[in-house]
Amino acid sequence: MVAVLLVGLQFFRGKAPEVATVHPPADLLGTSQVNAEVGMLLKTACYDCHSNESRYPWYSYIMPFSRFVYKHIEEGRKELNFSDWSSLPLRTQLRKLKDIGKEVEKGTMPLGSYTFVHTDAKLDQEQIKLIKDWTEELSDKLMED
Amino acid sequence: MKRMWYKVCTEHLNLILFGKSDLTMMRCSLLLFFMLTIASIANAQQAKPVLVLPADAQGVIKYTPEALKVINNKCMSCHTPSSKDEDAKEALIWEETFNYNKKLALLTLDDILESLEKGEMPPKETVQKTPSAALTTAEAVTLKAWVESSLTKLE
Repeated sequence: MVAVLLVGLQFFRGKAPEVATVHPPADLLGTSQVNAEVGMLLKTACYDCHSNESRYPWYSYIMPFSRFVYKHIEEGRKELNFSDWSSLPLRTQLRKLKDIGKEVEKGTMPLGSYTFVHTDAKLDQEQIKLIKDWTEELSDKLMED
Repeated sequence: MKRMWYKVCTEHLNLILFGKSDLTMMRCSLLLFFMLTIASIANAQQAKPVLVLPADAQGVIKYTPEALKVINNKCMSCHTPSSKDEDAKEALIWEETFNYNKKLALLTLDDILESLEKGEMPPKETVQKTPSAALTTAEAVTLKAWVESSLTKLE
């Protein structure tokens, strides 16, 4: 009975948000605005939801997990998409940097439900500080230019 | 306040019931009664804070009277220090913007602009409870124009 239900659910999977086949030209990691260390952290902890280069593990094609995954990616990209970084006006970049710093410091990002599965995405205090410091340094630098 | 009310009421009763017809006393207590009523009403009503530009404001954002009017009409219930809405205060406190430097001004105005463009403010729940809390078309236009012009001056 449950098996029938689970199989039936798969017909309601919905469409997976598209993944970029070519490295997006406006991507943050393509700029000189982030060093390798912080870039690596962002890639591991943030890029699945906050970029066009989301990775879909095998379980994300299976309902009900796919619902959560697709929703996270849709909303994550809407809120912040690193793939579009260079195309954002300065004022928006400043705002996003402030938000990034705030969210990682509060521990609300990355999502607990994400780090539960992706344990390598969990940020320790040192990594949080690295990211926070980067957001502040970059926003100061952007103001100077 | 309540004790004074009680005192005035009992004094009145004394006068009425026991016929102590001291006219001066009557007039005084009536005046006191009147003043207390006004004071209680003023106290009971939660007056919405009014945003007024201080003379010594150091910030880079320039406020027009039209923008201040809209802000006072529609934003000051939540985005002010005395508000009980912690989320709103975390997002924006208007009084703090008077001393914003260029960086804070840019990112705050960007935030406000996005909220206006997406129709996110005032929040849907607020508008559902109190339809008159919504921004009118004219107010939204005024506020958006002010934000855009402020950004142009800064950028």
